[in-house]
Amino acid sequence: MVGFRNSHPLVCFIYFVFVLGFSMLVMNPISLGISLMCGFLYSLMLGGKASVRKNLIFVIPLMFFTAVLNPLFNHRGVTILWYFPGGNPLTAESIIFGAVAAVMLASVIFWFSCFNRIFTSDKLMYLFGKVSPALSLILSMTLRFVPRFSGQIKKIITAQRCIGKDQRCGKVTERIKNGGAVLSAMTSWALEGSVITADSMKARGYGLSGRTAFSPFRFTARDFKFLLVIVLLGTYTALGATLGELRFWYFPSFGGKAPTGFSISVYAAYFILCGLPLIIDLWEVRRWNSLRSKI
Amino acid sequence: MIKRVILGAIFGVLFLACCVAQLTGMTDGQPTLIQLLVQLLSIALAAFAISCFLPRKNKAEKSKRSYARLTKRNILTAILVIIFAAVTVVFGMVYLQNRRYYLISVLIIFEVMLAFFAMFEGRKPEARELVTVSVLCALAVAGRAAFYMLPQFKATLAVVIIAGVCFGGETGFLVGAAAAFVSNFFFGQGAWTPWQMFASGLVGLISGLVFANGKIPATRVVLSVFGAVMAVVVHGIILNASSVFLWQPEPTFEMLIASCISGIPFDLIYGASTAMFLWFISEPMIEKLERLKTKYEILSRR
Amino acid sequence: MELIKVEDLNFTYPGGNTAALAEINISINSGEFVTVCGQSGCGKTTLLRLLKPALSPVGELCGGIYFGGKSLADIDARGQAADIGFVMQNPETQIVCDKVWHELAFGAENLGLPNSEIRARVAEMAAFFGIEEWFRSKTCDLSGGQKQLLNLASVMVMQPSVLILDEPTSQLDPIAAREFLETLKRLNLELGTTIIISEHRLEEVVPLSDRIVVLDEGRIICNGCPQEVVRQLTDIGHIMAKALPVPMRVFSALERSGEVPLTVRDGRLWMERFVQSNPIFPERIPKVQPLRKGDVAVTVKDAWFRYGRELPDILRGLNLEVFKGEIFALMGGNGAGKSTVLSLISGVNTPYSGKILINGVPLKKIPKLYDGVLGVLPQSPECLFVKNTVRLDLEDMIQGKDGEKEIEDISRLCRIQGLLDRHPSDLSGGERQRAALAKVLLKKPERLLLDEPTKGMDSNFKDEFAEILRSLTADGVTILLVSHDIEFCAKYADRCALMFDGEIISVARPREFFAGKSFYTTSANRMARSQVPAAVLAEDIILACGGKEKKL
Repeated sequence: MVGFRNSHPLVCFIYFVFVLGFSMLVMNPISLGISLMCGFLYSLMLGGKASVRKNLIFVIPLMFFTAVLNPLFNHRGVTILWYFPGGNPLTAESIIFGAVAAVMLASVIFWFSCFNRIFTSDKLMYLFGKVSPALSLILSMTLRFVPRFSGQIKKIITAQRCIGKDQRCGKVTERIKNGGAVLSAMTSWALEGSVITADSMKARGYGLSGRTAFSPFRFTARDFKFLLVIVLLGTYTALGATLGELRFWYFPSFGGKAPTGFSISVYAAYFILCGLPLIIDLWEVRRWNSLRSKI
Repeated sequence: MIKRVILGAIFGVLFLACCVAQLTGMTDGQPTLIQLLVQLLSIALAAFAISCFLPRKNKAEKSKRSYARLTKRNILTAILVIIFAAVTVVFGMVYLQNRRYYLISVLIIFEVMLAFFAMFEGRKPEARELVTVSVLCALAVAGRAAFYMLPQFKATLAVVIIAGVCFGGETGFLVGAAAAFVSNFFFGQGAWTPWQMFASGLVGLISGLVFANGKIPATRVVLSVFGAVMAVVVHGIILNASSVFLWQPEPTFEMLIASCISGIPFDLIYGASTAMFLWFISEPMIEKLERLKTKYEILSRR
Repeated sequence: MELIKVEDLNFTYPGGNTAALAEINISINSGEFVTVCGQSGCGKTTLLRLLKPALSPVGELCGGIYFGGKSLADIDARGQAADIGFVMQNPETQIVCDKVWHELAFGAENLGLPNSEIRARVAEMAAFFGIEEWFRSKTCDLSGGQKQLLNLASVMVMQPSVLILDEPTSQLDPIAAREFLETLKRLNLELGTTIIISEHRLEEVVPLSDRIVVLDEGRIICNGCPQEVVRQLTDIGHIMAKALPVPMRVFSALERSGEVPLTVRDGRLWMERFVQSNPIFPERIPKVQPLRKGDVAVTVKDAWFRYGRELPDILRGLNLEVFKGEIFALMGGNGAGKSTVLSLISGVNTPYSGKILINGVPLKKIPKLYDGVLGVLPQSPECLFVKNTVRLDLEDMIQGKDGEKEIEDISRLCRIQGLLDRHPSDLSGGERQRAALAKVLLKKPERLLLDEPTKGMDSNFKDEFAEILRSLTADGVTILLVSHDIEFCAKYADRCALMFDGEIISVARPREFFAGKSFYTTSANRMARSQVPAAVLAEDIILACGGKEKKL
């Protein structure tokens, strides 16, 4: 099954720019609710229960912190509920504002967890390579080196342990010293190898002018369709937001722009935008199932 | 080129005029669609005009390459960044209501980083330089494995500082930013990624500016103190501030302070571990990098 | 057609007293498969690198190198990048990118080819090398052999007309090495790529070569087809003659006329003919001496081990006894669990069932295991060095007054006196191995565990290394080594064991051990098994046939 996740990186990237952008920039409880719901469901679909549980453990305290911090420091608003010992008021508006901020945080985190699932290093590298080829190569090489270095560090630690330089016992300073020796040996080894890597690059013509960036990703008709839908929906929502259709205000009192036909259509567009990957994936699952049942 | 600059200046002024008009309330309430289009167009044209200052590829600059020195192009890039930052601030104040602080800060961070990346790209770095930068990044990310019995200690900043000391601020910034980006491939990218990149990049830049000209000796005592200060003051404050900008729609100064105070224990551990790493590894590592530099004449061509 | 021509080439490194290369004259035709061999430090790497301008060492060069009729210096960077491919020794460090597909495309990207063209070339090469299955893998997940194949493929994507390889198989295990060389031959035969390779594993590469060039101290001493080179080498009595494959050594010791057998198959045919017309004396082969069983130094009893709860068992009830003062060689294919056995005995890993005893005492109950009881020489010796000179590293191991004296003794034993003030990473593979051994020996271990000690060593270094091990066992040190190197184990081990699927299948003295196997045995045994079943080494066949090998 292909699914939205396997679309061309550019399509995925533009999608996330829109969704994350709206989630982070539009402080509208309705749009944030839509975003949170879709983000949560999609991350559930991509990562399964385990990953959602892991995220929740991390999200809930942060949400709590955000929701509490705001009324503590923000005393604007007309509906005063209580007075802090310092004399500052606790207002209903600031509580609402904090809560909306917490929802924003949660939705951003869930969307980022989807982002991390979809954007494997080679997809990000591809996008980077379009902007800055040298930098993209640095990233690729760094990603190549990190596992290799970690492995070598483990080897060095084992080798050192077997000649009596054990990090697990002895005084703390001694242990740190041994750790430093490992890192130092590692540095020597890494730099020595780097010369060969550079040679290997030169041998294959790195530094000739007019380097191109190859990618195994092909922009298909399907990608084009998705991109078109995403850009249309995104632009429509952005237009609505800029023209104030999604405006909500919290201070001095809480309120929002009265719904009009236009604003409802903007909400609908945003809803479709956020739910797009879910729709695509579910539709493909269904089609696949029906195809299978015919066999 | 002059034509483009004049064009850019005209449109820049047009844009600013529109903004001022709105700020002063000459057209109250929401901007109309036409206003919006005019402004977007003018800012795009202004950017296009200024882009002629951006570094070009294929220029015969290889012989004159120098490190940690303010070249003409670096100054131009700096001016560009400042102009863009100013435009960003004005733009944000006008168009965004609730989330302006967040967007403005992120955009400025992106602009600064882009400038550094463009400078690097425009220099057409050689294979050896690329590999060395990647090796340093990978060491910064993988280095913590060497101290597996002290899991909360990260060596990243120490390696970034050493990179800055040995190869100058520009490379230092690059190593810091790339290391933060790559380590997030293993720990998960998030809205905090740009801030982390910026924070550790800045530490690399500062250590390059402080130590690269050799006036201040990079002994291990100096480096340890410097490392601790960088970790707590620069890195710590930027990241604490980032959490406020990220998650608080209406940041206040008190919130910043509160966030910094709540982050102090972590910052202190980070500072202490950075200082400790520098105490133990800075001398051998700097020695090795210098050995490499002289052996292969990389990054320090006359 | 002549592709590469080297004329009166002399080369001196900056600050070097003697020339690294002197009076080199070669001409290589397109489509040839040329092997360059010689002992470590003979100048092969220098010569090969001079043929690739991007990698040419700095130094004083006179003479001419021509490529396709043009001086190499006149060929533009783009042309030489694409036309001359270069593969280096270490499979790991040559890889630049994190994904296989990106690595394959890297060279073509540098040439500035359009995306569609790169796609086609990458696909072609992936199919030719059988890379499709791991095309989207990360490069760090590949095995050593796959990595080196990837390096070869990513050079071939640039469609070079000549391929230069500098000891490409020295870091690979024998099976991966064979596969690599076979692929190389296929490239040579099917695509007509000219191949220039330097190798110390002559056994596999000589039958593939059209021509062999032997270098000694920077000069060409032999240059010709394998047949001629074998004759020339034995005629001048050069030390490289000892490194030649077994059939050739046997042939040149016994008979000087007719065709030189290049492969084991030819060797068998030759043996058949030889036996018909000559008497043989199998009784001359030394009899197997029964092993003097000393105390048991290391015991592994019914050990079971796996690396993770969910992972398969690596060791399945392994039993092993190593006697004091012997060289015990543990052999077996990849993934048989050889290195795991070492890690259990050295206390790095613990079996989940079974026991490991040292002199009858469980491993965990020995207080200072690494202080005189056990010494471990890891597979990558560079892991042991943390200081800037070998001397500092050795001093790091030893406290007290008589440290100086001990370091001197050990460095004499390991023959590294001249290397003490060098940086560890500047040493050659064999030198580094001996320096690492010295570092381990400073703790005076009674038991020494060696993991693939002969990896990447040329035959001369191996003999020296074996002598060091012999002198250690004479002092009562027990040596347990893990190796792929059948010839080395057959020659120097006191006992050999074969591991398969987490168990030891057979243990015996080398002569019995190899005489009883049909595939996993030395090439001398494979060559002469029908006539002289007891022969395990080339020397044995020569003795049994009544000949004598020239002393070198």
